[in-house]
Amino acid sequence: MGWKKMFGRKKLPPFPRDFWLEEMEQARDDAAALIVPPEYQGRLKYLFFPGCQLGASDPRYPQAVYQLLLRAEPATAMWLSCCGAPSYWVGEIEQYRSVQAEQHQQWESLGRPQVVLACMSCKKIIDYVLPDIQPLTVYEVLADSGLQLPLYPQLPELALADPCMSRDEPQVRQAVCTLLERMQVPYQILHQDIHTLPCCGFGGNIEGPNLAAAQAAAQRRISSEERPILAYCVNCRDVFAGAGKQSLHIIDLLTGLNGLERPTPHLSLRRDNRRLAKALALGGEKEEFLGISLEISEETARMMDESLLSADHIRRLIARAEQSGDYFIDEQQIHIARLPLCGVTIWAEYRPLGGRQYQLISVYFHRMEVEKTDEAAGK
Amino acid sequence: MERKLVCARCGKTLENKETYFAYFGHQLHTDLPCCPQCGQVYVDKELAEGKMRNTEAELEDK
Ligand SMILES: [Zn+2]
Repeated sequence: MGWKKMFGRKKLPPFPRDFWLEEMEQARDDAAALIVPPEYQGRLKYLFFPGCQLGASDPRYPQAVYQLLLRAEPATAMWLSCCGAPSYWVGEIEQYRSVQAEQHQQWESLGRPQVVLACMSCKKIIDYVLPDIQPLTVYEVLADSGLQLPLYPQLPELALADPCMSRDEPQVRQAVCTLLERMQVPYQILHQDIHTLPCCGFGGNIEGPNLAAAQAAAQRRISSEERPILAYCVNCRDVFAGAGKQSLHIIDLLTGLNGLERPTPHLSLRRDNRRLAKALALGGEKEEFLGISLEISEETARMMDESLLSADHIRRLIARAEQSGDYFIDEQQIHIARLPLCGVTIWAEYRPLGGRQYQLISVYFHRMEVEKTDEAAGK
Repeated sequence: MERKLVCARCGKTLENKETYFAYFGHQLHTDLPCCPQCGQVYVDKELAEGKMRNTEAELEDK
């Protein structure tokens, strides 16, 4: 396989496959939540399923869209989780089936409400594996509602970029266009032919994700485009923003959350974003993974993005070091510790700030293994 | 690079010692700071992102 090509570069994503599976597990585990309005228990009309990427991009998105849906239909629940697409992408078919089975069960136990999605990848997967669910998108539901929406006649003309997952889904694009017209947004469709929609670069790279390659693909797609981009897939929105393009998600227009300049969110902080999305939905405090709160600079977060390291990996590293006492200290009381992870050794330098709070100073990794020490054998 | 490091577990200052690394059956050896008591080895950023990464890339390209 393309293993050598994938890893033999200077910037090495250490474990792309595991990274995406971990993202999925986290979305289904400590970032998962089910919110059912008590008065509609057992007689829900809609079940809003934002997918694992919406809250990872902007933690406020799921709750803001849920509030809109509640205005349109109070008998609406929200379920923060993941459809299992990452396990499908990396070929873990059994795991993927079990995720889907659980999902189906949950849907049954809630009385088979109409499922409402925000992500076209979720839709592709559910349509394919669980055809009896027949999900709609939030864009279709909102376009059909009489909800009053904000107006944007003063915006510059936007280029509407359909996600590749909308291929052969003209009804979703139609709903998005209806919403844009109702909001008086000036726009043009970027790629008319719905059967040949190009990919933003995110999906195609998920098995061996390479942010630089995705951004290069995005740049190719939009380099001649001078207008700001309007997307209705959050991955597209983030990839275009990462390629230096002004870009909006239609949710930004529906909710007023973000303007044209929102940068692409850090891949390394997506698990934190999901936990925050859950806290916002439940009205509580964000829980820190392993109870560790971490300060990370822009520069370090960017390096971690490129290496597919999550802040949660660093939390694991710190928790292990501080619990076992296996770390080094320099003259400035900086702690230095390592964590073996999927054939890679991750090192972090961090400063204890008191309690369970730490400032991350630097992160690096290597694949070669120390052969000849006592501890290398044991751990 | 002379940064004085102490092993938190043993309280000992690290000392340079010849250390072997392996990757795909290939070895690299170099003097590295180790704890004289528990043997924990310290790999700094310069080595990880320099010599080690180059060796790794070389072996992967083969
Ligand atoms: Zn020691």
